[in-house]
Amino acid sequence: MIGAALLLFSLPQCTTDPAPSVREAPLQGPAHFVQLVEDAANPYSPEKAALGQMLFFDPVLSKDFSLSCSSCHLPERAFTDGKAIAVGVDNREGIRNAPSLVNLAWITEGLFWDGRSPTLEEQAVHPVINPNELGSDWATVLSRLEAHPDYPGYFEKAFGTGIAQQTVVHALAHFQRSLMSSESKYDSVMRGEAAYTDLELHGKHIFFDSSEDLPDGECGHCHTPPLFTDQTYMNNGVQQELAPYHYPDAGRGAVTGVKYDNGRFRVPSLRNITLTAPYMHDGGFATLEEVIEHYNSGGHPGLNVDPKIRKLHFSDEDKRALIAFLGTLTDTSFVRKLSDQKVLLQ
Amino acid sequence: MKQILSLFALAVAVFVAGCGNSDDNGGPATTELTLLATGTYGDDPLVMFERTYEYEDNMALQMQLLQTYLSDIALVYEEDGVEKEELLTDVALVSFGNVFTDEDAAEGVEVVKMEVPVRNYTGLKIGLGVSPVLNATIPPDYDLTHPLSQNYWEDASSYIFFKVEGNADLDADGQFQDKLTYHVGGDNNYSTVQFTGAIDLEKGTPKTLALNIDLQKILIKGDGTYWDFREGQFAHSTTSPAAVFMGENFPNAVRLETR
Ligand code: HEC
Ligand code: HEC
Repeated sequence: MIGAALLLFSLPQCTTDPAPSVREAPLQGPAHFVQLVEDAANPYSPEKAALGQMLFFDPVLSKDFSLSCSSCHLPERAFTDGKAIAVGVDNREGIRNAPSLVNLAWITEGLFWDGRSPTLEEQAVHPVINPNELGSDWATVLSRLEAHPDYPGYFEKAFGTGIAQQTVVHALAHFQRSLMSSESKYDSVMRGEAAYTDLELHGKHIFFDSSEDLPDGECGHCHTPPLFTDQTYMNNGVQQELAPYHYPDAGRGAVTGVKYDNGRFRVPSLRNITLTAPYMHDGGFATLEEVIEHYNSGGHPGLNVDPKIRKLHFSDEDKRALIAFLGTLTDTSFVRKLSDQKVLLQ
Repeated sequence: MKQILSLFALAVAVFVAGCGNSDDNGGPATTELTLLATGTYGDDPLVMFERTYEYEDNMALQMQLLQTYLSDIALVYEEDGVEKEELLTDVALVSFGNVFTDEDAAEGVEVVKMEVPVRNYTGLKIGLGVSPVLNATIPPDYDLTHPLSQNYWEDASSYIFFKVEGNADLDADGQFQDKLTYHVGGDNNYSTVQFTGAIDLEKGTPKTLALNIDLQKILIKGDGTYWDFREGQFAHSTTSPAAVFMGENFPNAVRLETR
């Protein structure tokens, strides 16, 4: 623990250096975020996160050593992959777009677009064995890690125990939990350290429905700060309703079995949204301009499309302004190359 | 058996003599109390999506969300001639968003369930919305399991006290294409209600109370004036006419039942 503190302390201030990627314990967020609750069953430690970081970037987790988690969740793209639909081992295409991994420590209402996974620990089991992702199996992964010259020692250092599926997923979870983005221009303005341009301010008013003179965008009701998601499941009209409550991808409905949840997806965070194209669960929109056109049109009608999704009557200037405001959510400190944390495990 | 508690109920309430004061451990004896919330639209159960509710002037609506904060929920009792309170919770968030069937609606959603000292209580107090004290706080004051970690309105420096969302048919063509989103907040829209009547808690006998919220009464006043959806389908400011109208009506839209 003292080692971690020293390491973080001794990191140079210079912006070209890699960002510290693991945080001190207990895991804390920025002051303007809701407070985190420590998981008593798997308390955070910088060593666990450092181990998780190594595993996240290591193709040893894939069937044929071809891919790692970071192949689809690239740090420089705010942990997305630039593809509409993710592609795994053997060039197998999945069914959905790879989401950003940002501020996941705060996500309590389910992970994945449809929320089918309750925790980061539970989530991490799946990419390893999903044939469209890493396509491996846990027995293979564990035996490879056991045979590795360094990993057994690293697990011992981080957990005081050996290699097991549980310690692997706990490490991955803590690395991802430490991925926090809160240093965008939006955050600086919130803290009174910067000011919006006129265009950004115009966009902010539309986003939050805060000006009588501008159209309401309704965005902030679902993309609620500071996470820019309220973690609800909504139908925002991106899919065509094939029959009443029937959509090509049932999304949340396939998890809950409730037909009114069909076509609903978890409201995604919009942090670093300029870096995470293409957009939506199906990667259906290539640009933010297309996203804004979608919302402006009111999207596809559907029985459970949220009432806040409707024709918005934006001018061209309104659209530019909204995109300018979305640009203030980009956090360049979040997308720098991650520094090597091996030292914590030695 | 259902019993409606009201100002008048007090007159007929039968007071059981004696107070359950202490148990063997020396602490006050307690029993389990559950406070539920149920939603109705007039006499009909309030369910989301497919149920159509007739509205004034040939309009109709279908709901997608009714949610509200409740604050400073306390049982009231008298001791030595002085009115005292047994606080159940300082704030709770109640959502009917997952109420899809009549059975769900009848069952209600849980507001609080806890051990409460046994006494002959004389009523229940509830704040509708977020109390001014709590409304002066912000989500970062809480951890992510707390009800006040969400639903904050930065521009109004207020929590959103309650939300009414759905779709309306404004021209009686059977199509529910007109979207309704009413978000109400701000200290000016906070109110408190007190239900008076005997709530006798006895050791070993769990008790359930149900707070009924009648959406129809949020939208339509006792004198028949109603919020005309055609005048405004959205409200998201503390002072918008629709918000103030609904904020004013809320106290008249709640009643308490014992189960
Ligand atoms: C082949 C590409 C691919 C690989 C490899 C991959 N992922 Fe993903 N990841 C995705 C896709 C696609 C989704 C969304 C799937 C869905 O919602 O159904 C996703 C979702 C997630 C989520 C949920 C995020 C959220 O906001 O709900 C997490 C966490 C995650 N991945 C972590 C990992 C980890 C850890 C690994 C390595 C063990 C990994 N991923 C490997 C493509 C990939
Ligand atoms: C009713 C809730 C709701 C409202 C209002 C809303 N969104 Fe969304 N938004 C969503 C949901 C749900 C998704 C994901 C849908 C999907 O993938 O099928 C989404 C996705 C997005 C995405 C893509 C994110 C990604 O990572 O792919 C962007 C960008 C976006 N919204 C911007 C906006 C803007 C700008 C507004 C206001 C004009 C807005 N949203 C209003 C619910 C909402």
